[in-house]
Amino acid sequence: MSGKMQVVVRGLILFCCGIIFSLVLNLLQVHRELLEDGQQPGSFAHYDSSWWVLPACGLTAAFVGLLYPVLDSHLETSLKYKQEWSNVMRCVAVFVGINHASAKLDFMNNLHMSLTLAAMCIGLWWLFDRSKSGFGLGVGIAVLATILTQFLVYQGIYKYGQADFMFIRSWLPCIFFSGGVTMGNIGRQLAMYGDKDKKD
Amino acid sequence: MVAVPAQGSSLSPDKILQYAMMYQILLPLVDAIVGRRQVTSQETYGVACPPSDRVYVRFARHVVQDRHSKGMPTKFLLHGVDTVIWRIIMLDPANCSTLMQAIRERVSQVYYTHGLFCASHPISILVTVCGIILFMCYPLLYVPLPGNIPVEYNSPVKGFHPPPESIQRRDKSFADKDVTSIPRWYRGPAVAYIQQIVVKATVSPWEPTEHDPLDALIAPLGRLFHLLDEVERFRQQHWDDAAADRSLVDCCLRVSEPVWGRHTEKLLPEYGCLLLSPANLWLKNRDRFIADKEVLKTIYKRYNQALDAPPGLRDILFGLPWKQTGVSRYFIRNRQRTISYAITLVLKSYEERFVSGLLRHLESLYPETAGNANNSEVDHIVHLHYKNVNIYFEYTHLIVLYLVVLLYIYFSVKKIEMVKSKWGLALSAVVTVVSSLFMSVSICSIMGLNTQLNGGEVFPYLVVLIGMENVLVMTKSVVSTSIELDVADRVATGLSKEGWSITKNLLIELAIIAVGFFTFVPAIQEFCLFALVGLLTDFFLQMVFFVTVLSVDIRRMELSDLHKHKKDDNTSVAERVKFEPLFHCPFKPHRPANKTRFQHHFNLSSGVSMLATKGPTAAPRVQHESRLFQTEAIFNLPRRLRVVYFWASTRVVQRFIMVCTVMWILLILYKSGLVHHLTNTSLPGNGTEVPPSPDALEQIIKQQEQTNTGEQTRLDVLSPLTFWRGEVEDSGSVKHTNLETWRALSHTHWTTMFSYYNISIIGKYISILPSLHLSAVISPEEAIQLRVPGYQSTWSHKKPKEQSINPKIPEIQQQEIYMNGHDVSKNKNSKNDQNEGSVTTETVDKNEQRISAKESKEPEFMSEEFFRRYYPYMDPEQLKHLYYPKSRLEFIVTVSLGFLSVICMTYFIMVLYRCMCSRKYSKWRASWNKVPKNTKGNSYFKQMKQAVPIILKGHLQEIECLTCDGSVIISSCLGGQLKVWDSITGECLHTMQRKSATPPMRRKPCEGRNVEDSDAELYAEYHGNHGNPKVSSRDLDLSALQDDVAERPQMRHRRKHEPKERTPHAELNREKFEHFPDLRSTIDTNFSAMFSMPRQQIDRKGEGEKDESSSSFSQSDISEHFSNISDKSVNSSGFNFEDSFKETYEEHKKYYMESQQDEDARIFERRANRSKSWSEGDPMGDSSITELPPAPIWSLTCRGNLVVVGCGNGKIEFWDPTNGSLKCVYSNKSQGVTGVNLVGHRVIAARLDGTVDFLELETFQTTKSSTPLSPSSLNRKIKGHSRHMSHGRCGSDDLRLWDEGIHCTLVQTTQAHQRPITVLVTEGGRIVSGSQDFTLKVFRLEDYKCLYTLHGHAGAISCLYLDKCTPYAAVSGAADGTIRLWDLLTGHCVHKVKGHEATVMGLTCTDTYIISSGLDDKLCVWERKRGHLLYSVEMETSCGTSMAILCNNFVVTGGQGCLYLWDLHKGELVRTVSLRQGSSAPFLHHVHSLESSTIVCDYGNEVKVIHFPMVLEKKE
Repeated sequence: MSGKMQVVVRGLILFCCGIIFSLVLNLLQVHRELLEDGQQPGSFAHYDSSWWVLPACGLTAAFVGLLYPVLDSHLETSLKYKQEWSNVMRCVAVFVGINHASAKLDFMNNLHMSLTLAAMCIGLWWLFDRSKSGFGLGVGIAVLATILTQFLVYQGIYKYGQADFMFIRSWLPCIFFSGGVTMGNIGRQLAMYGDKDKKD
Repeated sequence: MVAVPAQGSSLSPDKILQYAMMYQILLPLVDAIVGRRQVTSQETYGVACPPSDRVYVRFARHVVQDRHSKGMPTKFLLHGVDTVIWRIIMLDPANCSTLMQAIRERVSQVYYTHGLFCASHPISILVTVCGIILFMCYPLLYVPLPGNIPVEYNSPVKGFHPPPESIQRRDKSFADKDVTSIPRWYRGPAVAYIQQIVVKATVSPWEPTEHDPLDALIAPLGRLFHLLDEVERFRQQHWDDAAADRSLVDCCLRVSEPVWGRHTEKLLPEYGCLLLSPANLWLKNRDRFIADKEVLKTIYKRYNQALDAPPGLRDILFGLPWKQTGVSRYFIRNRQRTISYAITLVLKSYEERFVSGLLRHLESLYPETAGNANNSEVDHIVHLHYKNVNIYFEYTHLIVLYLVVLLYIYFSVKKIEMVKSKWGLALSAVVTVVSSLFMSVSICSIMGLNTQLNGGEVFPYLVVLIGMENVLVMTKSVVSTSIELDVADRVATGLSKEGWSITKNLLIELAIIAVGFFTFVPAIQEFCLFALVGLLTDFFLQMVFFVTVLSVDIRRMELSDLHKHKKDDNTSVAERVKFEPLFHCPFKPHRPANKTRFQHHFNLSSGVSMLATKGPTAAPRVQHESRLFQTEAIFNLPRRLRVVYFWASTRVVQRFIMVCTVMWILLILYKSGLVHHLTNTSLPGNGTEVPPSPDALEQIIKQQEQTNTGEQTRLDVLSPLTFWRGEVEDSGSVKHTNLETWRALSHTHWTTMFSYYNISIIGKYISILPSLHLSAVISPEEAIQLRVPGYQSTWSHKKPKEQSINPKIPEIQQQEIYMNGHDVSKNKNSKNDQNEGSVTTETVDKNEQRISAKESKEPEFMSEEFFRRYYPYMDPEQLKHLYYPKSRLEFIVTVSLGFLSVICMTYFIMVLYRCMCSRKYSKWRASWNKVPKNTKGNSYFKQMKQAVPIILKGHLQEIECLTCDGSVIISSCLGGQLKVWDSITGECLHTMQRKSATPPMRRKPCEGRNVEDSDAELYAEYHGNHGNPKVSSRDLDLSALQDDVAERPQMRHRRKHEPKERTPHAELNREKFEHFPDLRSTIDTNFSAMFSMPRQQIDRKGEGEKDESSSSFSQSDISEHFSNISDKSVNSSGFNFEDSFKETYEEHKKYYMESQQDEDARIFERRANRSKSWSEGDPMGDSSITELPPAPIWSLTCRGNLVVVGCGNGKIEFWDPTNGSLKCVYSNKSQGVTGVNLVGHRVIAARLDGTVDFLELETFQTTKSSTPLSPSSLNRKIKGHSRHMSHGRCGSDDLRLWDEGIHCTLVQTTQAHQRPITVLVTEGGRIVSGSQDFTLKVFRLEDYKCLYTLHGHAGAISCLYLDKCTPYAAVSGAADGTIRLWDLLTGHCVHKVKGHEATVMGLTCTDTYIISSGLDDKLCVWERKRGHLLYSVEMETSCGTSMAILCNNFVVTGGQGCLYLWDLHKGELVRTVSLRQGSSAPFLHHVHSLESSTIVCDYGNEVKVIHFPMVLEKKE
């Protein structure tokens, strides 16, 4: 019972984290779009069309965050690093940094951008995860999420600022990857508390 | 090579052994080495191998056994085996790949050294680092605050076109290469184009005598109106042309009325072109300007502005940074000035023709411009973009980010544990990170990196990237080191453990950052550069700042721990890394302030001990007690007093004053122009000498006046002084040096300007066109013409200010008044007489005035004008210009030069001091005190006399140990005999019957070896070479000699009177000896009763039945009564001894047989008994076999009524010197006792194997059954183990009703050292042991906790001295010839001195001196406070291994057959006291001082007591 409750609590926390992240990141990206359009920022009209984006992000985050520890326990791989909150915070900061970079920096072209971001993502993984399962899961999430997003946008269900898919494609996978790793880190950390309680 | 599959240090010892044994390949190698190498005795196997080598020892033992079985020599060199194994492990290819390992070792060694350094100089390092941080952060003052800085973008002037309104979509523009450099905001036309026309104007040549200060301002401003007219005209014309041409509209920006119209009083242009200039202050009306009587007031008027901070209206109108305008509110001095201002013309559209045409037109108007400004130098337009900041979009992620970073820091810092002040460390960690960030920004800005990044956005990432992991790791590793270690060692060890990983991480991070450079995104590259510098600075700070803070913290924790922590930890073997620092710090370690604080306390409060020290033996107990008490009392000191002590001890105020003085002197030096002169060596130095006297100067001037005429003359007059004026002339010129003056404007300048018209440029951009620079030189006549008619009133109004500034010199006032008069009147009325210089309105013609100034009257000497004319550099403002730092660089250079010079000077002075007066100083100072004494003519002087020595004879062997306590002297000889002497009369009070009481060593089973042999042998091996005074070389054959030697004393005593009894005692053979019964029981009887009932007495026989009463008889009783009685018995007829003892013999035989059978059972029993207590209450059933030679005495101490004897076989015996009885024996171990101390009821014993035993004594009382006593004495309460000393030997025994028994229990055993302990001293609540493992350990007496391990000696500790009073310092000497003075309160080495070439053998101290003697036959006297060598005297061979202080000034050393008396003050031999009696002269090994004037020394087998009385004698 307590175990299930813990999972639920963990899921809730992760869900909130996901919502917060998506909000922040959306703001960053929207800022970029608005700047490009030359509009006055400050309107939230963007969210009107797609209110379901936030919960969807939260759910994904919860899913990923719960999946990571499960995968770990199944694969029985010992983590390279002893998980600590400080490390997780570092990871989150780097994740925000990657988003920041993708939103605010000017790159020569899309390829340049995706390469740089990919390097950053791998750096993030290497710094904070270093587990094969983490990498695999991250890549999987990135691919799936990108395809899904593209599909949604093509179908017209989700409207992005503009239909510049090449541009979006250049940074979207990286963001998803790093997001996956970050959420996984948080999930693991939360799961560790559960383990501790079990041991106690 | 041997295939030992080892992997570095992870190789388990057993594995090595296993493999080595398996392969058996080592053996030939071992053979080879053993065959070749010489066997040094110290290296033989067995004792005291360092734990790390234990593996090899074990292996070697195997090898030894193996070889032994093959019949090879057993004497074996372990060292060789070690080497072999080590070589094998190291050379193995599996291990040898470890170049990496070598590097790793090296790195951790570096860290170790560094940690040691940091921990030993905390304060100086902290101060230095803080200084460095501040110094590095200094440039930050010039970095603009982040936030509202407009973003810049440059584009070339040539072919400039405003960017298109809407750029093509981004995806298309990616093809264009240039597009990356074009910012997003650069789109469409600018809000405005700003064209500035900067004018610099000055009145030249300046004539101080005829110009008014305000001329310098008014004349240039007057030019402004002219210029404005020209601009307007040109604009109109251009407009007309353009209209004719292309019907262009006016290109200037038209504005409506300003928002703040009311406040600005219509100063700003309305409904027209936005053209701003200072002329707006006068509504662009020239007449208004000329009529203005208070120009300065107008300029400085505040237009409803609360703050004077730029940009005010004034700044906007002048268009220049206010400093550059040259306008100042008060014109104190009358001199030439350059006034600059700008006309700001705001254009709506960029029209190249208009701008260039304007430039050409104005340049033609101002020909002076050509030489002074290069208007085409700046060839780009700067576009300024004011960012549109939206809180939601801009800051949300930043807020999240900062939150995350805060959490990160919080979680990181939370992990710091096990430290004294968690928050302190956390703060310092944060400080480390933050200041490293600041430093990196500042360094980057110095390097010229223009920060495009928004600092606020980048900081959190930098924090995360730099991280606090190192800090945590270091803290954890340092904290996890053994608490037993010294603080510095702990820090160093902790650092060295993590050194490699820290370095590795740093390198990896640097590599990652370096990768960032290859992204080719400018922002990322910039970030990476920041991060690179930040990482390095952070590493630096962590290594220097944080480590030091950590060491301070740990030290604090230790200090607080020491006084709270009472728990007994078993001292674990410290897991310290065996690193030697790369270099030893040349400075002495810093001594923390609290140490001195304690000292002060002692000085104040310990009068008792101070008194007690005068007579060292007067009241040892009281002294000791008071000392103990003091140590407790230290910590109850009020805080107020502590502050005062701290203040006094560190001399804060004095130092501060000193620093201030030094800085002041430096400032003076700097101000005197020396620095400036030196830095400006390029200036011409031709003929610039200042004439020595005013007369000479005048001559020069006159000469020049004769040759030249007119205006030129006056300038030339100053030529000799141009050297000083060079810079001033420069600043007065109209040359434009800075061509982009607008950059120094306030960041909000343009926004403010536009906001006057309610135009927002936020989110848009403005373009600043290259400014036009104009220079104007105005002739003085023109300047004077511009003067306002009603000017007089202004000036007279201002006069009081002038006066208040320079009120001192009447001439000045006079001169000014006169000038005013002259200024006011341009009219003709002249008045030549200036001496009637009250306020006058009479007018003076200026020409006449000039004449009067020049010819009719030379200016009065020392008058204002004189100075102004001939010493223009005396002008304070010019001086200000001269000596104020002109640039930041100069300032920094000066400051750093100052620092450097202070450091250099201090060092130099210290070196001088050391060189010049290190030795002589003390002598010299001493001579101060002596001289007045002699001159006083005291006709009496003290002289030391010498009494005939008292010879204490009785020992048969050489004296081994000697100790004295007040009035008794206790000595022991090599034979193990112990005697107590009266120091005054020289009587032998008692001879301890040791052999009868000491349990036989043979009975004591010992693991593995024969203790007797091996211990003695080992001891000899260890001590024989070092010549330890306690052990003579005769120890070696001690065991062999023991038997017959030990018998002799008894023989001598009894031979005469009882020939029969001699037989058993005289046995040389141990086995044979055992066949005889102990007849002592038959002696220990009541002899008076014996005569009456002889038969009865004889019936009492048998050793086993030895009853309590007999044994309770003390030995002294026996001998005492014995002589009397035996005399009688001999004389009495017919007492047949043979008969009386026959039965005893027979019974003994039987008993012996029996006893042999159940010996084993008994051993067990007896040991059990003994371990409990060895008092007379115990049955001594086995005394038949106790008649063995006594164990050699290795150490001896006594206090009060207890003598503690440490034996070579590990036993500790407690004797009562008052009656010579054995109180107790403690024998749990077999290792010889090398040192024993008795403090209160505590006994500390050091053993050969390096252990220190802490024993405690308990007393209990047993009734003396045999002695009936008066009831009155029953009441006498014997309290504990009272140590009262009965000096008289008669009576006291009889009076005693209770006999004290002593029970001895082992409280704690500590493996303090790895090698034998050589010295053990207890004083003042501290126990200090010195060992052959080069270290000393300090224990606390109360709980036997090891406080410090004193590292530093590079040889076995050979001697040790502890202060008996306040400083409680320890002085130790070692085999390497060094002497160290330790502060026992803190565990620091205060001084390290080296004066001996060989082992230091003798050491003693007084308050002011340390006296040492070594094997190199030198006697050295050191000054104690500073550690200087005062004297070094060559002595005769091998004298002075022991020494004693005699009444503070004299030291006595023992030599061969004589004593030497040295004067400490003079460092010379005063007297040689020959003790020689016969032909042979033994060495004196033991010299002790008894009271302050008596010396006790050994002389072969005698003890001599020599009294040195001080006699007051009349001077001849």
